[in-house]
Amino acid sequence: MDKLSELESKSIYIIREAYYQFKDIAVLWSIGKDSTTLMWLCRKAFFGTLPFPAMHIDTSYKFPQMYRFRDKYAKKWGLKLLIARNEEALAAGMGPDQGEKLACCNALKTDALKQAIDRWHFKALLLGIRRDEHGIRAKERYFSPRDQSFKWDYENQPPELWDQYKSRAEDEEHIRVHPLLHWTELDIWTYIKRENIPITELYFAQDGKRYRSIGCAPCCAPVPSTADTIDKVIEELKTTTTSERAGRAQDKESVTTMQKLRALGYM
Amino acid sequence: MKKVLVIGLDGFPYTLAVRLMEAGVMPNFKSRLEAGSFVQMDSIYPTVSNVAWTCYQTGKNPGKFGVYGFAELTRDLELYIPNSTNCRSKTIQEIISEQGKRVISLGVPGTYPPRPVDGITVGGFLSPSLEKAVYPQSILPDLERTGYMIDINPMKARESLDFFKAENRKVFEGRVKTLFDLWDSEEWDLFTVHFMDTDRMGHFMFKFLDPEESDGLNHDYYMNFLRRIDDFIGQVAQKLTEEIELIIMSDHGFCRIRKEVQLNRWLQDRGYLVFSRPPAHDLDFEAISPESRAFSLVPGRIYILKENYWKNGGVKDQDYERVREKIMNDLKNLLEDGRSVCKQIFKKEEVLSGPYLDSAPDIIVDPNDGYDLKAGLKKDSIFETGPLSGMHTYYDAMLYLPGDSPITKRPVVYDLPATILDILDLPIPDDFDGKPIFTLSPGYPPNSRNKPW
Repeated sequence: MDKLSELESKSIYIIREAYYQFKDIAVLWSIGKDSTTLMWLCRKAFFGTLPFPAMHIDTSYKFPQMYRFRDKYAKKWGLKLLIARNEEALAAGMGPDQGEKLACCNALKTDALKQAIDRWHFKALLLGIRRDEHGIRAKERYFSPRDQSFKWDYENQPPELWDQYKSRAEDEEHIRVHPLLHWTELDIWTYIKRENIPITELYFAQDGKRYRSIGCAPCCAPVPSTADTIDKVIEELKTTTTSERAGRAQDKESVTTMQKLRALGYM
Repeated sequence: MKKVLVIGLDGFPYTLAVRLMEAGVMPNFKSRLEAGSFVQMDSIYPTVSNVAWTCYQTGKNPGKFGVYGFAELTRDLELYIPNSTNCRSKTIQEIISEQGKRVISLGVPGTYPPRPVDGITVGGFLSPSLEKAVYPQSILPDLERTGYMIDINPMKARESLDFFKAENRKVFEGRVKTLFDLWDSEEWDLFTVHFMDTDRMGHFMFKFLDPEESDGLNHDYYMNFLRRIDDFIGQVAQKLTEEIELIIMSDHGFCRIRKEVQLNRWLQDRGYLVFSRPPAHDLDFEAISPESRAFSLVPGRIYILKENYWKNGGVKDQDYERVREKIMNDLKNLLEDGRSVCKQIFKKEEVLSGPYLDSAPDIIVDPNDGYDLKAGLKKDSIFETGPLSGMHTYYDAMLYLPGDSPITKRPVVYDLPATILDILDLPIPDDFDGKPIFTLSPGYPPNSRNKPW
């Protein structure tokens, strides 16, 4: 089997295992390339029709192109689409320009997700994260338990040796399932090409710039690029030395780092 | 087979080390010098730790790896904090790994997130947490056991000197313990252990080196810490075996701050920097108006707002050189109480070279001792006095190298990787700027064990 088919088959196995174990599950769809690939794999796993809902954590600050894309494919793929918004925080005026961007992320993403889990009682959530995205994600498991306060006890994780997954949850937990953990950014793109998966036009260069990673419009910056087709994107990724999330100016990390540097007099 | 152990004492000034040895404060360090050479070393422009240590990591000047400070701006004037993913060069750790040897690196600034190597990397003080900073993950329990800490909490430290003093010591002890632990339990060919504590004392406490400045307690703390470092050097010396060569170095020097100099305020006063609205805070770069011609970042980095580079940049290509020279001329006349603030003012191409010169500051200022170059956007006056008492110097880093080979040149911090590769008998890549600091005599390595400690 070629590499992409192997990646695909492992992911589909994990998706089916998650559904078999928990039934009350949802797939988080951020409309980005990874979670759209995950949607594709979920559809493949169940022969075109998802037996569980897709959930979009909507901060209301996403790019208009993302909303258009979401609505178009939710309809086309017959998804049961749940939209999770922290209406209370939005009504109170929360946004990236209201002081700390970190507080905005916490309210509109983390809290919105907590509210959604409380409301719909999911036992497990499928997420499209990948190990190569970010230092901390390197030690994620395919089946990763979180407690009620979302705490991830990374020192006390099931081992997952020889592809034996601990896919049963304790009472107080929900499980995050990561079917794409073993994929790289380049794998995703070559798979998108092979399968002809639709993705938003934001990823392709316009006027010398493209988005390599998308989220909320005010907090994402495009990177200089002339890659306006999938082939060119793949070519660019083979040679680039900048990180995928370089355009995501306000990572939680960089906020703390900034505070540190300020305290030390470096800013 | 030789191995190399590098002890990095961040910001430890050569002149201070000499003074302390003369005063008998660091006897172990002093006796160690008899087994090698101890010299003053040049840092790098711009003189900050993440840039200087990335020179240590790469053997190159910043123009070849593209990082010029703790903070950088994108062309859209958005602030970001560069990390190891922004360093566009191979590191000595990677080079040595590829040659089938093992490396360990603890706490070197600019190494977060850790790049995969054959060995161990723990990122520097800007790592968000220990678990994120560690490669490979399997080493994490060991580090927790030895009490390894990434850093003091600088926000709290700024509020309370007592907190700073206690925590600073804890960070030091954790790192020493980790060094000795891994020294025995791991295989390694190059081991770099970095201590930020000396730089921190420099910033927060440098004035207390002067007993006159102090209530006594702070001076004692400083001296005791230096004695503890000396004990540590003694412990290391005792543990050395025939095959291990010890290098002790700092990445820049320190001096007392006389005044903080707000270069953006100065640029504003001279009409080079114009705001379209009052800046909301010191880092509100979005307030810069298209009429502006220049702005500054810490330390002494001045950028000309070139039309084809910066968003809304208003300086045309044909005017660039004229604007740059005018600012450089004006800087010569920047005086505080009759003294010149700038010791040397460079065009970037005079001190940097390489493919990433585009994003380098157009002017780099090396200040006279005492003038700490700052860059707040919301400052009322050019000259200020702040809570910190020490600032970096370019010319006063230190370097101890083992052996009796004559040192043939004044070393620069980027000479270290070539020197280390030479000791390990590995080829030196062609694109290095650094050269081995000593010429190898035919009998190298010299038997330094014949000398008294």
